[in-house]
Amino acid sequence: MNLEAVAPLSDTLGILGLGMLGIFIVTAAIILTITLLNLLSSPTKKGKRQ
Amino acid sequence: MDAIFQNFSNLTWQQVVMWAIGGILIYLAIKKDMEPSLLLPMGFGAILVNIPMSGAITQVIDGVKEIGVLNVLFDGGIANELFPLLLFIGIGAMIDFEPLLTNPKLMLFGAAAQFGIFATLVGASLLGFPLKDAASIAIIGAADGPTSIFVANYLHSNFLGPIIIAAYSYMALVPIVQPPIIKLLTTKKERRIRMEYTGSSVSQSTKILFPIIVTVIAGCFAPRSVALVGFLMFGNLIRECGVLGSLSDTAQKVLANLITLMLGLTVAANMQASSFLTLQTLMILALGLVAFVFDTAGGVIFGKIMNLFFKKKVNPMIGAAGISAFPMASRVVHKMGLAEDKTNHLLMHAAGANVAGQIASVIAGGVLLSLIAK
Repeated sequence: MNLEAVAPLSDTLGILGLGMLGIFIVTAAIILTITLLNLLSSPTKKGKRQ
Repeated sequence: MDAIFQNFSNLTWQQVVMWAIGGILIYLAIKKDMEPSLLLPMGFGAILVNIPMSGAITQVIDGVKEIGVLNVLFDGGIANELFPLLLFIGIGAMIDFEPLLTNPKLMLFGAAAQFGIFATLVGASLLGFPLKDAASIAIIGAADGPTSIFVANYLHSNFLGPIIIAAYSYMALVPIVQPPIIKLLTTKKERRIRMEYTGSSVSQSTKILFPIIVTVIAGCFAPRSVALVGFLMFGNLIRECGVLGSLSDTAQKVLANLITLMLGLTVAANMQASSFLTLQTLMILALGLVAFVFDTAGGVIFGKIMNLFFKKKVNPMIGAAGISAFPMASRVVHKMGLAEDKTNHLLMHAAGANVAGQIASVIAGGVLLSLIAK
């Protein structure tokens, strides 16, 4: 993209859509990871309780 | 005798206006307690660089270039993005991600509250700013000073000074900017929604693995964000590893304070009257406000949308805490919750969304750079 020029509305709307999609994809990956980490560490907690 | 008073003839009214702006920043820092660690050095710096023929900045005098110390600091600390990155180590060491780790769903609010960045990009482009400046202005919506500096500098924006002032000023103004938008977008019933806090503990290994994994994931998806995310998460790893208490303390206090001190003064190198007192500066300040408004709206509306699909309702005000301004945004939501119902404590949920916003704002910066600087 030409950074020195004014971007047309269609381009900036495209960036808006792709940008938010990108953030939500990364976010979903992080949520999955945290959930997995929490699941993997939960047996230890159960062990402690027993 | 003439030589003593000669410099007064170089003084312009624009420089006097900049002294006044510097004075206002110092006043806001001291009297209103608005981000004093940054606004005070910036205010003083604004006066320093607007003294005619100031020796603090590079000047050409009689055809000879005299290098100013603020330009040396700018080239060595901001032009190469060093100061904002080092500051992120300190910020990372300050953040406790436990409220987010116990309820990872809160991460979604952090993502939704970045909407203001991209909405402002559209607005700034419509107002005629070139893409590099429109994106740099939009990143004010990250509500995160170091990210704003990093992105604006990466794109070689001509408006670094006003962008940083807008970013830090609006962060300080979060308690004034957010409540009316939240009230406008929510009903009393929604604001009274209670959210259960389980308070389940997070294992030490999860806390240690989290910063490493987030760095890898964010870096793979948005490689340009890897320096920002990496330094933030490195700071957090120091905090959570349990064996570097002394380094963690140094990062949280000494390192963060030193960099903040340098950053404020150095940023002022970009506040010379000739480049600061323009119509564009006013437009940037207005667009910065637009970014914060859309960020807040994005988070709150996302909370309302979630309530359409989930049986367990969330208080949509939590969405407003998804902006990165930490911890002001979570305090605002907590106070508003208490104002509606004295027994409704939303602080832990809001804090979770708030730290999620810290990560999401950095990712947003990286995604934005990946999309436009390809």
